[in-house]
Amino acid sequence: MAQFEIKNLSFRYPVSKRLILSDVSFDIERGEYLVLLGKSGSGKTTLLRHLKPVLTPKGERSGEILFNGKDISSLDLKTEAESVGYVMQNPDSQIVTDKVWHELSFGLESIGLPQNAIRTRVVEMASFFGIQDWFERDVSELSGGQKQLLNLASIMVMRPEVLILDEPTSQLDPIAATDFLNTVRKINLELGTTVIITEHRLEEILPAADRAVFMEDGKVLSIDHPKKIGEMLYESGSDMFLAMPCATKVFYGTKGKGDAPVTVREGRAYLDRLFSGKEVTVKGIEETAESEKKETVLSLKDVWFRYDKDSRDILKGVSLDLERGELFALVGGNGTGKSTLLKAVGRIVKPYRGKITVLGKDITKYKGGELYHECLSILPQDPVSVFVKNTVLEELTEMTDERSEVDRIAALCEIEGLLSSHPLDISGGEQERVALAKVLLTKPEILMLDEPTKGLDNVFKMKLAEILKELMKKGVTVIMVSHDIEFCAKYADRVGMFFNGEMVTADTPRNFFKESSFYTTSANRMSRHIFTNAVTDEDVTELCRMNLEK
Amino acid sequence: MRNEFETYNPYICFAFFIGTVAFSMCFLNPVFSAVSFLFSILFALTVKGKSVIRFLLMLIPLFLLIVFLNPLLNHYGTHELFMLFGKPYTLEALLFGVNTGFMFMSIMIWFMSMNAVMTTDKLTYILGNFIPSISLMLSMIIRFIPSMRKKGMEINNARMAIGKGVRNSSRKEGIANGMETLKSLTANSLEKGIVTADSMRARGYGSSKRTSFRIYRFKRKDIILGISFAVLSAYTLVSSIMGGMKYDYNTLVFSNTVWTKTGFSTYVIFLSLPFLLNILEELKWRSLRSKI
Repeated sequence: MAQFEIKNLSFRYPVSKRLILSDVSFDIERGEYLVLLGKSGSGKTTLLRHLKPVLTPKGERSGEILFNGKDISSLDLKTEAESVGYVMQNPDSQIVTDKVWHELSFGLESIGLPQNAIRTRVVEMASFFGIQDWFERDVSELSGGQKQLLNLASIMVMRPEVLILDEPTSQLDPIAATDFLNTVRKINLELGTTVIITEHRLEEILPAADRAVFMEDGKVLSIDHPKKIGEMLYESGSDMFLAMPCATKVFYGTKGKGDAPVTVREGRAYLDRLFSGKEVTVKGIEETAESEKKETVLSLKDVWFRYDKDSRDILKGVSLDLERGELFALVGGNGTGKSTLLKAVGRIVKPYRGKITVLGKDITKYKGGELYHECLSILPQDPVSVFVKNTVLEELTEMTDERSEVDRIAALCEIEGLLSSHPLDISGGEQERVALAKVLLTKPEILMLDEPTKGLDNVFKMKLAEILKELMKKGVTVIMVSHDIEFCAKYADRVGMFFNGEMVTADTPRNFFKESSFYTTSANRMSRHIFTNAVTDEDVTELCRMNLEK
Repeated sequence: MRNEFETYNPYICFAFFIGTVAFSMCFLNPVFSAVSFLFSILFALTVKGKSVIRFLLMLIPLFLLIVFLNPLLNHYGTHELFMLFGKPYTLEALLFGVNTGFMFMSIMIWFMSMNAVMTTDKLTYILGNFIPSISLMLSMIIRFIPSMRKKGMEINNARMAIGKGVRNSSRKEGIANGMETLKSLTANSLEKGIVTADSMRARGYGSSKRTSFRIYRFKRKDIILGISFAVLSAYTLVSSIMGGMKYDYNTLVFSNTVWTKTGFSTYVIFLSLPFLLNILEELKWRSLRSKI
C-alpha cells in the first residue's frame, strides 16, 4: 500500500472556470524523496496543499486522495498534525513565538503532550539539528537560514511520517539553502521520512531525489527518475529544461545519450569521457575588449559606515566606479554589507566618512527628494514594501500623471494583464515586475536592485534579464546585489566581490569566476580542468561543440 | 558577574521583587528606607554593572528635589529651621522628604534590577501556569511588535528610495506618504498573519487541550530560598505590626524595642540574600578558575 494514492484529482476555485489541477493521478511510496517540477502557476503548490487537509484551499474538488489507505479528509486534526508536516517559503512568517525553545515545543503543546514527553522530544530534536546552542535565544536574533531550520525542527519534533516542503529555500542565500537541503536529505535517509519537495534550485535536490514529477497547467506530464526527466523536457523543448542542473543541460546540449549527469562530479566525468583521447584546442571563450570608456555615473571613494557609535563598521573604505550603461553585480556572503552599500548610495543611511558622487554631483548636494527623481532608485529585497494601493494600475499612476509613460513601462515589464489585480494577490515574480515598473517610472539613470532574483523561476529570470538589457541600451546603469551567481555570470558586465565591508575584486564574469574555485558557477566548477573561462552552461556547450567539430 | 539569583525559579525571584517593593513603599522608617536603598544599589551592581551608576546620577537631582520640596508643602513638626513664604520650614518635614526620596530611588533601582532579571519568558512562565493560552499570546505579542517595527522601517526606506519618502517631500505630501506607509504595513502584517495562522494549524493548534511546556522547574534550592524568604518577610511584617519600626517624625524618636532590633535584622537579611548569592557564586567561580 502506497503512502499517498492520488486518484483523478481535479480542483478549481469557486468563482473560476480554470482547472488548477486536472485529473492528477499518481502514488507516493513510503520513505520516498519526490520532487515536483513546474513553472509558477503549474499547480504545484495547490497539489501540495491537497496533501495536508488543514491547508487545502476551498473549492470544487473531484477525485480522491488516500493516505495509508484511508480518505485523507477523514483524519482528525491531531493525527494529521502528527503525520504530515508542511514547511512554507517565508522563514519569518511561519514562526509563532518569540523564543527558540517555545517554538520547538509549540506543536507538541498544541496536541496536548505532557511535560516530560515534550521535554524529551524537544531536547532530542535540538541535538539532531545541532541547534542546542540557540535554545534560549530570541527568534529575532536568528538569520533567515537559521529561522528556516528552526521551522523544520519544530515540525520534525512532532515526528511526522511525511514532510512536505513548498519552495523552502527560495528566500535563503546559497549557503543556508545548501545547509537546509542537506538537513532534509539527512532526515529522509536517517529517519525514513517521506519527502515531497518543490524548488526552483534543482541542482541540489535532483541528486537526492528518487523520482521527479513534472507538472504543467495543472496536469502531470511526466513522472520519472531524475536522470531521465531531463530527456523528456529537452525533447519537448519545455521552458522547464532551463531549471535543470548545469551538467544535465550540457549533456543534452552536446547530444549525449543515456543517463544524464545531474551533479558537478558526474558532469566532470562526462566531459572527461567526451574528450578522452581527443585534444582540446579551443580552451576558452574569446572576450572582446572594452570599446570606449564611458562616463562615470557613480563614484564611491573610501566610504565608511556604521550604525551606532559603538557598533562595528559595516562599510570599511569602499571604493567603486560605475560606468554608464553597465550591469554591475555585487556578490558576497550573507551579512557582509552589500545591502548597506546600496542604502548608502541611496542616502537611506549616511556614511561618516568618504565621498559619494552621483552623476557628477556630490550626494550631499542633492536637496529634498531630488536624488530619487530621474536620478537613482532602489528596488528593495521585498518588492511588496513599495506597494500601497489596491490595484496595480493605481500603483503605477501614483508615480506619474502621464498615462502614456505608464503604458510604455507596463508593456516593457509585461504586466499589462495585471493592471486590475490587487498587488498582494499576484505571484512573486509578477510582484517583482510590478515593483520594477514602479521604480522605472521615477526615470532613474542609476537603477539599484537588491536581490532581484530571489524566489523567481528561470522563465521570470530570463524576462527580467531582457528588461534590464533594454534599459541598459537606453543608457541606464544597473547595480545589482545578488546571491544568484548563475544569473550574475550570465548577464553582468562586471562582477565585484564584497567581503568584510570592502570591495575585494571586480572584473568581467569570465575573469572573475575563473579565479575562484569554490565561489563560482557550476559550469565553471564542472569544466575548469578542461576549459579556462567557461562560466555558463552555454559556454561549456559552445566550447565542446567548437572542439568536437574540428 | 555570575547571576546565581537568576537561576532560581521565576516565582521565587518575582516574589522577592514584589516583597521588596511592597516593603519599601510601606515602611516609613528612614533607616529602613536607607538600607533598602543600599541593597538595591548593591544588587543592581551585580546584575547590571556600571550602568547603575549612570542611572543613579540621573536620579540624584530628583532626590534632592523631593527632599527640599517636601517642607514647602508640609509643615508639621516642632523643630523650625527658618521661615519661608510665611510658613515654617521644619526639620521633620525635611527628614520625611529624605525618607521619601530614598524610598523613591530604591524602588526605581529595584525595578531596574527586576527588569534585568525577569526576562519575558520568565514572566510568561509565571502567567502561563494559570492560563496556558495567555503564555502563548504574550509570546506572540512580544514577537509581533518589534517585527512590525522593523517591517515599518523597511517599508519607509523602500518608499524613500523611490521618491515617496516622508522626510524629503513637502509637508502635505509627507503626511500622505506616512499614511500610505501605515496602510502598507497593515496589509503586509495581515498577509503575514495568514501564513502564521497556517503554520499554527499545520502543527495542530486547536486540536486538543493545550499544555504548556515549562522550561523552569522547582528544585531543592528554590524551596530552600522560598521558605527563607517567606519566614524572613513574615517576621519583618510582624515586627512592623508590633510597632518595631515606628519612627515619630514629630519627635524624631526611633522606637527601640526588641521588635525593632530583630525586625531590622530579618529585613536586612531578606534584602541582602540575592546580592549575597550572586557575590558568593562569583567568588567561588573566581577561585575555581584560578586553579586551572
